[in-house]
Amino acid sequence: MSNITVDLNLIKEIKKYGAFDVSACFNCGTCTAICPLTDEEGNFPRRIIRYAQLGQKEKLEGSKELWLCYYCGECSDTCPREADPGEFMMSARRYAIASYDPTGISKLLYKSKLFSGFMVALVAFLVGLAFYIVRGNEVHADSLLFEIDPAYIHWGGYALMAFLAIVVVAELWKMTTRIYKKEKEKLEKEGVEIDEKIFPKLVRWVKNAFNIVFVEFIAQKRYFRREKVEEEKWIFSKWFIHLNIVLGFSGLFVATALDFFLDIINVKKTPIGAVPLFYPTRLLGTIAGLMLLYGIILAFFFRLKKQDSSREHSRFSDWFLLSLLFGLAVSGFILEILVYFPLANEQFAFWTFIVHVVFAVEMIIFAPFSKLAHLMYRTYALWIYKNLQTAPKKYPEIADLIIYED
Amino acid sequence: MKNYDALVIGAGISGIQTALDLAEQGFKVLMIDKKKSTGGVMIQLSKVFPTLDCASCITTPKMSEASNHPNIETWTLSEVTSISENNGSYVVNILKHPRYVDLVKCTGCGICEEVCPVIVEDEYNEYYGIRKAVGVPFGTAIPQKAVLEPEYCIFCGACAKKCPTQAIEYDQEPENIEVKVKAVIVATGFEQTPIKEEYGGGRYKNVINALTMERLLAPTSPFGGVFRPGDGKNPYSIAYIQCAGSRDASIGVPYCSRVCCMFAVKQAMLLCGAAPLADITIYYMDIRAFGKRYEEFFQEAREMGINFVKGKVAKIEELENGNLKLRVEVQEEEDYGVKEIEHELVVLSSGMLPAWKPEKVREILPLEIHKYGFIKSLQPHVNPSQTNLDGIFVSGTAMAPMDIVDSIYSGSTAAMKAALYIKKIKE
Repeated sequence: MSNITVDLNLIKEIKKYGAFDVSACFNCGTCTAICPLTDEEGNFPRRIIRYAQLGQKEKLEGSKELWLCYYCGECSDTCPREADPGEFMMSARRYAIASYDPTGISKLLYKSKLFSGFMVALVAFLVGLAFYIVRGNEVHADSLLFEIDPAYIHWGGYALMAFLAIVVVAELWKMTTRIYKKEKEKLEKEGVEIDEKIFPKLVRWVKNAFNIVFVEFIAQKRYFRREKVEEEKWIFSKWFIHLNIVLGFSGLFVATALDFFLDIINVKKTPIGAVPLFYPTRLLGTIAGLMLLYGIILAFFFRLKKQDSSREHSRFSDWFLLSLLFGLAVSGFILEILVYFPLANEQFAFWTFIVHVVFAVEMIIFAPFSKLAHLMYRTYALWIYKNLQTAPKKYPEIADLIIYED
Repeated sequence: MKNYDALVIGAGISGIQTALDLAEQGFKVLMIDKKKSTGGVMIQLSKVFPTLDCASCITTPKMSEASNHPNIETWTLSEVTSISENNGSYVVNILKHPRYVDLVKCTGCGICEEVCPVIVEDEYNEYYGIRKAVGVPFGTAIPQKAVLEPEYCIFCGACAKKCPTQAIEYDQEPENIEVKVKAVIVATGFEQTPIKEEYGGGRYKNVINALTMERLLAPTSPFGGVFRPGDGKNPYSIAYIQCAGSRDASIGVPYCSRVCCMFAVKQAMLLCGAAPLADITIYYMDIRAFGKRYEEFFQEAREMGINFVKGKVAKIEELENGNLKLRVEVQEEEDYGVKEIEHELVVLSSGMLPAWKPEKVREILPLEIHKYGFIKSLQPHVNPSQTNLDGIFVSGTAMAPMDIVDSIYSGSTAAMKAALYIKKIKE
């Protein structure tokens, strides 16, 4: 029996991240049984709530289940105690994001709106300042919107990137150790052995990574539920909205990264933004932008309307991410229109560009500390989950088990 | 206008007890019930826990005593339409629905039932047996007189022709009767919670309420055995779902209905005799065996081999062959996790809702009502039967969910309090 540390304040702490009435939970297990994602490996939300109630901090943080939940709201609808297990899962996820983060920024961002506002303003100010240093007062230099000495941006940018990368690695490392510790204990308890050589293991892991990227990330398969999608009309279903946001966001990310990359290898010179509309990266960017806009607008609308139980409690962090994405998409779109519109007011275009850059930088900087981090954590956790699921397990023989007789 | 000392609304076990206790003290009592017979829900039950005594053997003597008591007048098929206070007493308007049978002439011989060509579902057997559109409601009904139901009657006249005493009267009209009483005792009882959507919302044929199972197990059961409603098959695996309509805020019943644990244990025990080959599983959150000898009763059931599984059933799915698939997170020590388990018959331990709906109560009386719809006791611990109005008392499950023993207690308590009140008024 390993030592178990009990954190008496765990539930209090999680409640600060928005869990409503989880103390009301009497552990009947309705949530777990109704959950469409529950299978033999993943038992949630009841088990996770139990960890919180018992102060099992390490086990809670090592629960891959936090990242499997898509918050369909079924558990919250059927909970006999109205303890809102779905909202608890989200709160526990926020708590986990904060606890994996070694810098403590995340904790402050989640807990204090003031701090969040201050950070947003600070980043905006710094980006503005950077522009000012580079360009001075001269804000209308023909249409050379993108002509900024790369050296400045790059030095600052590289430093920032390095910092963020270190944070991300530290976060994932903490998550991995916690999950593996918990899973190992579980396997030991059940007497299951995993016996696999390193090479087939790596092959399996790579195979799983592909599976996760295509099935879980691109198609959002786990989110897709036929009956819900049919019931809600598929274009307004949660799955389709989320799919649009994910694909739109990643599409824009890929398009931007490709632009940058093509620029480096001198295939395409960026200074003039007006590449033909059907230039592959631009086309990808336009389509992805439209998808993102569609998803974001509907997500905003349904959250404001409190469409169902899963959209009833919108926290500051939810609005924060949605607003950033919305700002990013809208400013980017206006920019694109301005670039192709010959009579565009250059001053206006330039300011729009700055706004767009501010949103983009905010997005990147807050990624590991805010709700956006779930993109990384979920994909990663799904991969770990898949790896554990597909591992060749050796179960103990019946004879090894103690058979209880009364 | 007729004068009575007390009016008892509801002739279930609690109301009967109140009426008897008042009548024995010499007070004139009027007892009314909207059903065709007195006896309430208890007369439908098979056995009572924890003694496994026959339920009707306890109820029928009381029913009969009340109906033959010189100080008690019993009106069935009657409803209160208004109550108004008048110089310390109450003027009550009672709507007496027509029976279409002359109560004096009818001898309860049952010939009308034999000749009636209309077959209807029997509500006494929880719509699981049949009866005719005219006839004595059930074997132990009191009054033991026929009732004709115009909503089913095709007016063929067969019963009127064959009736040896010419008791059938097609031209009866509803009567509005005004009575003056000094005290009113509300003993309106309970009804079962509806089947929730996750359990099929009543669409699955082989998911039944506990009261239906009660009828199947009773010695007067419609088929003399336990058959499942879907296809008449003998079920070989029967599941009980506890807290199917209680302790569930999602359906608006967050309270415990107190009796479901015990009646499920009782029915499971009876099923061991009625369906000896069936496996019986009770899915429970926790067993609340609170009364005298209840815990022993529960332990006895475990020893009899009834399978108790901890976990609340989240969802039921109907399979093609009529079997039911239960999705539940089993929380037993050696066997845990989410499971899908198949059963041939599912019995829901449904909870209790007040039968007299709060909005209806408010139309008639400014009674204080608890947030869950039961009538509020002014002092629930020291004077449970007293409502917020002088001279209005409450007893039985109109006050809160309770079992038979407590209903009888509270009936007597209400009678005592009402007697004291009436005495005070008379002086």
